[in-house]
Amino acid sequence: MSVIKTHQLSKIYNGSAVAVHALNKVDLHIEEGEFTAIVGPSGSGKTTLLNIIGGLDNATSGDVEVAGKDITRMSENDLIDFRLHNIGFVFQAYNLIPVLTAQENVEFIMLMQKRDKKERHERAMSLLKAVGLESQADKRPSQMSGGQQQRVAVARALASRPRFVLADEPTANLDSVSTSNLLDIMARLNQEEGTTFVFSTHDQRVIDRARRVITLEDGHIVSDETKA
Amino acid sequence: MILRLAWRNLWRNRRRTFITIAMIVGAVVLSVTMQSVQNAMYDRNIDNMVRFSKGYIQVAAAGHKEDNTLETSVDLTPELREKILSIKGVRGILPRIQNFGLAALDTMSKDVMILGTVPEVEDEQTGLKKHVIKGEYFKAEDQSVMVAKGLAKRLQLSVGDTIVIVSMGYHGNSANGKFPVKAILELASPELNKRVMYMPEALAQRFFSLGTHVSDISILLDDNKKSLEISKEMQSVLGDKYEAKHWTELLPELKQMVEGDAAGGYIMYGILYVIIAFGVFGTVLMMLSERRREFGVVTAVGMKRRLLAIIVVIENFISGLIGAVAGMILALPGVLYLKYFPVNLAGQMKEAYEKIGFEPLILADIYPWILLENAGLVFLIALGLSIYPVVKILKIRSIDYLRS
Repeated sequence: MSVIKTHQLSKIYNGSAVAVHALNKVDLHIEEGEFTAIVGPSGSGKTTLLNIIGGLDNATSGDVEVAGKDITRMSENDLIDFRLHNIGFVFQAYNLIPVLTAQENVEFIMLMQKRDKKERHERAMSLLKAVGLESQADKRPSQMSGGQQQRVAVARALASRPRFVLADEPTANLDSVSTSNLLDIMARLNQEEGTTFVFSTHDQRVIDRARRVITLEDGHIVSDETKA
Repeated sequence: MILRLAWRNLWRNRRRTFITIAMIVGAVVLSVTMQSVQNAMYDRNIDNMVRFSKGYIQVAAAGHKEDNTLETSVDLTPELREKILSIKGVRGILPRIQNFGLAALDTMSKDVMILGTVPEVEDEQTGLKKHVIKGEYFKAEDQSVMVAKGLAKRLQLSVGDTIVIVSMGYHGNSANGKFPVKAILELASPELNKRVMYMPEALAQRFFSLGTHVSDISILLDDNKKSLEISKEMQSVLGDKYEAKHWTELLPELKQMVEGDAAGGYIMYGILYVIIAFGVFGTVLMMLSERRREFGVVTAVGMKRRLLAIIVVIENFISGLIGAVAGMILALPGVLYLKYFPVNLAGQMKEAYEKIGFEPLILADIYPWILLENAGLVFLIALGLSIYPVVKILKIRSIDYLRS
């Protein structure tokens, strides 16, 4: 079952001098449980594609159906609510809330979902355990390494029980050990819990671990390979 | 967690929060101190002028205010006395005889305001005995007068000298006499100091051929702040034959001077508040700029913009409240100091104050309403500045903020 479908998706940025076609009639289906990497050179449209299927940016034309809903016609408030319940985000720069501890950062999303305190606490601790940071629960982002922060970001992305997780260059700021740890965790969560992951990446180590690799160039999908 | 988040956000950039709170504290301290000084000086000078001249409420015969001569004097009968004393809030009465005349000594003469009064009650009402700087306070049966310092200086007289007074008595009787000076008084009001002389009531009644009449009756109150309402009640109790006037009707020039000066003060406060508002607004803009990307992230992951706006308002509420309360507390030492150790002005400042009839003294007093009003106003200004970030937050498009 497809969790993400795009049809003839285009995005044009109208700059002051010249219009840039970031995405050009992209047709894409991503199935539940996939572990997919979107790759391509800088400016190929990876981040734009992730932003549009994540409901953060608008398409210039075409349709985007996420979790069975057409998100292209949703208002900003509806999109915020939709993202809260359906999409988990992992950003390149971690983007944890600096004044909250690791546990509070993970609980924060569930608080927005109005989950009760006990459930929030139990799920946050269970997710922190899953990413190997149970002992760091009381630390703030500034007290943790980049790799640890990105693992907390993964736990936060999963806290809302989203239909899928979008990760934009999640390993770009990590060393090789942290990258390897993060990929192990995400792969395990994908296999054991069936969480769908979609990455945009340049990182060959991520590409090697992905089971499907979609390559973008100049806003077109130039290859779409699923590994055996 | 929302409150915790707001509280921690407040202290993530301590310098910014400190600047915001410091500006609020500064505004409250300045405005409270300025207004406490201004009001204390008004109250002091009004009290000086009112108590020593007309009283907070004055009862006289109908038409006395316009006529202002002994022809509209009032016969203080036991019935009238009883009626006045029956009104709630009235502590006592001080019958006074007020008239103008010419005082002379040797070759010097000067127009004077003659106040005939009951020595003991006058002292109770105005503390006049304390103002004697030379000689002895007069008694009811005395045939002598007390002269204010400025007038004594002008006539070059001293205790023991005899002063000649020429005036007009009741029903056109001439009033001329010689009176020994029993005391020299130093009055707080520079205006009164220049021209007042006191005479025992019985002596004044005889001198002006008034019989049992007095020109007016000053009313002693339990609480001078209730004088306006009591004056209205008194007028309705006494009826048309009498007029019960509040000091603001009797001394309209004093009221206008105070109101005019207060209006100037309000313009100053307005300028102060605008400066503070711009300062605090600057820190609000700093906060918006610093947290732009964070706002993009939290709305991207599902935080409602309305909730984010509430958090920012809570942050402003807390910093505003801390600033306002701290400002009230920090304003107190200065105000208390000026309350107990007023500053005596000298030189040109002293002359300027005396010129407008004010005692040359900088003093303050604690007025709870001034503390609350100024702290509340500055707090509301700080809180009101939340409107801008709230409007910005309610328009956030996550992607624009994430790209910053």
